[in-house]
Amino acid sequence: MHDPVTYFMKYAFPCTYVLKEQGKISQAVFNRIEKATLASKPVPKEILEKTYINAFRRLKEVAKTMKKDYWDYEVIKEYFQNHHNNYIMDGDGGYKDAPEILKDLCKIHKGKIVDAHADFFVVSYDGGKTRVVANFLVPEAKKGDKVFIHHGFAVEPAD
Amino acid sequence: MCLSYPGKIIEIKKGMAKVDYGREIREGRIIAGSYKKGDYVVIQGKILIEKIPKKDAEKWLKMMKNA
Repeated sequence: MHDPVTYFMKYAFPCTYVLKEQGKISQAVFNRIEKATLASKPVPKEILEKTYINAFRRLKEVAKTMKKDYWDYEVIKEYFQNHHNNYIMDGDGGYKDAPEILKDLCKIHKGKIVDAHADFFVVSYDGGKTRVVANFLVPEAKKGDKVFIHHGFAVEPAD
Repeated sequence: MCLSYPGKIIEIKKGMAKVDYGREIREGRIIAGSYKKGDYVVIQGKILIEKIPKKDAEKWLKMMKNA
């Protein structure tokens, strides 16, 4: 069983870069979350809820339909693996006019590692697209394994 | 919303690209794919992860500026 906080942080981590680029979070908050994510250490829930506002709004919706707490591991997993992309495709939270290629980065894809190097994987997904992703969140994965990817990161192994 | 922000390559040297992000210049490693000066790209974790077609990148940057 995963700890829900660090599990959430893995999936949300790529967004932290974007939030910083958009000036929505400070360098200090970014550094704190980055350091904790690299060490698989939790950050206080209040900080995460203030940082990833859209994700928690949607997590609460999914939690309601599952009749569980939004900090439940199953809810977080269900949201990222089965609902996150639908929200993007539906244009939720400002995605409506965004270029497809940027939306694609934001989606979570299940892919296969076709090449594994010291600090990155080349992952094939979505019927032939490939992407180079950092591998430090899934250090145990190897060539041929399936992983979930989000932006420029492999997030967790996929069965 | 967690949509990436494209930057423009201003220099490529020894597999490293210098990318102009407006507020800052960032460096990213080129691992796969062909990139040239002037291309719009997304960098994460110090790796170039995607090339963004010029039309899309310029449209999006303009929209972000006005948002």
